Amino acid sequence: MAATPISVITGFLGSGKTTLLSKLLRHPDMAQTAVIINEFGAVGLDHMLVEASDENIVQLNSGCLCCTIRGDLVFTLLDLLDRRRRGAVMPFERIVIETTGLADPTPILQALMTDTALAGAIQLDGVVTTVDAVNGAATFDRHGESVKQAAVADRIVLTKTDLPEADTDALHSRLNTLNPAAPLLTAIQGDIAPGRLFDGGMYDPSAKPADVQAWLAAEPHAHEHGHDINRHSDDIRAHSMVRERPIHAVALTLFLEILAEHCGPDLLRMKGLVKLVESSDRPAVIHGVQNVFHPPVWLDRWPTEDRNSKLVFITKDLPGVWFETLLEALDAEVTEAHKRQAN
Amino acid sequence: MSETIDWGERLEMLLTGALAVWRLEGRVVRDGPTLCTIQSIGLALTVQRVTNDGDPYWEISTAGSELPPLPYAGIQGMLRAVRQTLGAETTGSRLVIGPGGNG
Repeated sequence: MAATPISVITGFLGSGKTTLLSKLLRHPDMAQTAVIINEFGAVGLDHMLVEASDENIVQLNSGCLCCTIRGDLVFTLLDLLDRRRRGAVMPFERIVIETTGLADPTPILQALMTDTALAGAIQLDGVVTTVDAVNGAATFDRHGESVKQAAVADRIVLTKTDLPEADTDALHSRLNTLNPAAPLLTAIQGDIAPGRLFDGGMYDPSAKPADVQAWLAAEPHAHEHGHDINRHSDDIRAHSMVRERPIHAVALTLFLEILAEHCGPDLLRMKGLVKLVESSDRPAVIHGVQNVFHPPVWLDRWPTEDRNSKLVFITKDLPGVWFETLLEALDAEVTEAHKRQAN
Repeated sequence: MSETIDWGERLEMLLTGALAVWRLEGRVVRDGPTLCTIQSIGLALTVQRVTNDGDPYWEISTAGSELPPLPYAGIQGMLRAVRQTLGAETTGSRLVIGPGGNG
């Protein structure tokens, strides 16, 4: 059986996650979806607000997924998959996890990417983050968690844009700076087609590479916070890198090892479409959260005529230009070694 | 690719960025075509790409130290050694590649 795609919906308290999920689950394309809702507190409420088949909704309300119950998440996923195999639940073709409003998504992603028991059974589809167009900017100013939620998103959904107090222009600008590779979408009262949020094909070579194309469209430059527009989220930075020359696989491996060792938790997220010397016709999609990386996924072909490597880094106050310098230096070192061996 | 690699400039940028990544105050001065000096936390470290006969390597020496310069085969080892010498806090860890993927 093919790996079941799994998506994470996150967003700060009151940003519209549950409204979005509830509306999505009424869409026919979402009929075969299992939902895991993580709530704080002994008595969960959100699951009652989400209309779907009860048997396919699981509550995790013994703590926050990102903090205390990652093991519970893995257990719940394994249990869901087993119940599907035994016919004990309605068949599902997708899993959606709704986090608490205070969750840091990165440890959740790490758990999904590294658990060997889940390997092959699930496939991370992406992170959808809701941002409230009325209170989003103020929330960014006050709550670092919300900045991180937006920074690691694969797609950002602006909510409450229909309210007169909404300030979408300023928020667009801020989000473009914070996470330039994530498409900005709008959902009024949670109304949005599921296809715009899911099946991005980032990590699935057989799916449409929508997100890969979004990366290609992102401008190759650094977005350094610290200026006015992001003065209160001044430790999150986005940096995009485009490289024309192919990269030796060894240099890429060394690059990732050095990032893991020296950047660690300050590397919130990294995504890349990479042209390797050893496989220039089949780009590799790489994706990492802190020091944990998904195995490279090899696309059958380049998604567009653009055959440059593209890497996007979301970091906590790391100098983006260093990534370019480091990769260039490593590739030069490997190139020199290959030349010496050839002579 | 250019046949002649300017390692001095590259090394200066690499070490300057590394200080920022390690959250260390300091400065990097290029002292030659393949040589840089790092001044940070009261230490002066010299990092050089040595290209004598045989394979090139990196060499690190600390001003005032009686120890001979230490060699490192690649950038990865050199960076680790510089960080350890400067006593920068280690926040990272080893690279973890999750299971799965299409190889």
